[in-house]
Amino acid sequence: MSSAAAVKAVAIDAPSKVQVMVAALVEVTKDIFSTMVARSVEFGEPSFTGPQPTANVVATVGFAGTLSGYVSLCVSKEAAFEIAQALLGSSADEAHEHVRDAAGEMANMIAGSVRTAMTEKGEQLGISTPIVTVGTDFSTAALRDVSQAIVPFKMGPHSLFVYLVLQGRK
Amino acid sequence: MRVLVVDDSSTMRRIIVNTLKKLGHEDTVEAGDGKEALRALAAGVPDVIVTDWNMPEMNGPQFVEAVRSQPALAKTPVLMVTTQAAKEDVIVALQAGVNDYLIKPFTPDALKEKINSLTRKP
Repeated sequence: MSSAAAVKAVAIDAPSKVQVMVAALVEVTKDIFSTMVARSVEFGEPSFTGPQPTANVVATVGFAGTLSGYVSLCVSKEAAFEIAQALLGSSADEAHEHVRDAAGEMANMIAGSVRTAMTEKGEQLGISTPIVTVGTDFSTAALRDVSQAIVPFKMGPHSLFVYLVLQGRK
Repeated sequence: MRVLVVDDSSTMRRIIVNTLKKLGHEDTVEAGDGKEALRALAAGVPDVIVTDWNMPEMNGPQFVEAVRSQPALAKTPVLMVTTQAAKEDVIVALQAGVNDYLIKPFTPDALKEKINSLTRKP
């Protein structure tokens, strides 16, 4: 193979930034759920098109730098409660008080750990503090010129998602 | 032993405080950001400070620099608990005056080991 052909082959085969970040997201999310929540999670196939999954609790952390966008952890109220209770190892009453904050902290750990993984690949990123939206019948959407990935996973009976949006075609 | 726990997440503060209590450290003070923590420090010097990095108002390294600028707090052990784990981050934290570093996610045993190490008498 000529050097020009080799360069072209590498360019075609090289994973996109979104794919690289999805691989990091899967690894760090498994680790965070295992270490902090004592739950194993099973990941499904990511999709790179379609709307953000609907969820009752959406915890979002933005990032900016050589890449910019955001990561959202999207879960049901029931899953958010189970996560809060497992994180705290506490009573139901205390867990109810912490449902929003616990979801935000999980998103913060996911985004922060992905930031570290991407920093080790040469990116320079800063992350925001988390924003948590709780409710029913709402949706959020990135506007235009973005790349995205929806990464589904299961925690026991609960279906959860990590939603990644990158500005630009990455 | 008194421990000041600084984190904008009330959940993470609760996790850390609960772990400290299991270690027998019942005397804890909590702050939601660096500015609130500096006000708490004005009221009394703790034996150990445990702080997050990614916080509003004043981030972890900025808070630790402010701590180290006060002579009374120059030698107070500081543990940073954070997801910011790149080599460059660790250097920034150490230059700010952090004594030790714990990467989230962490186990209770890992926090216990770090606290014991910081408070161990020579």
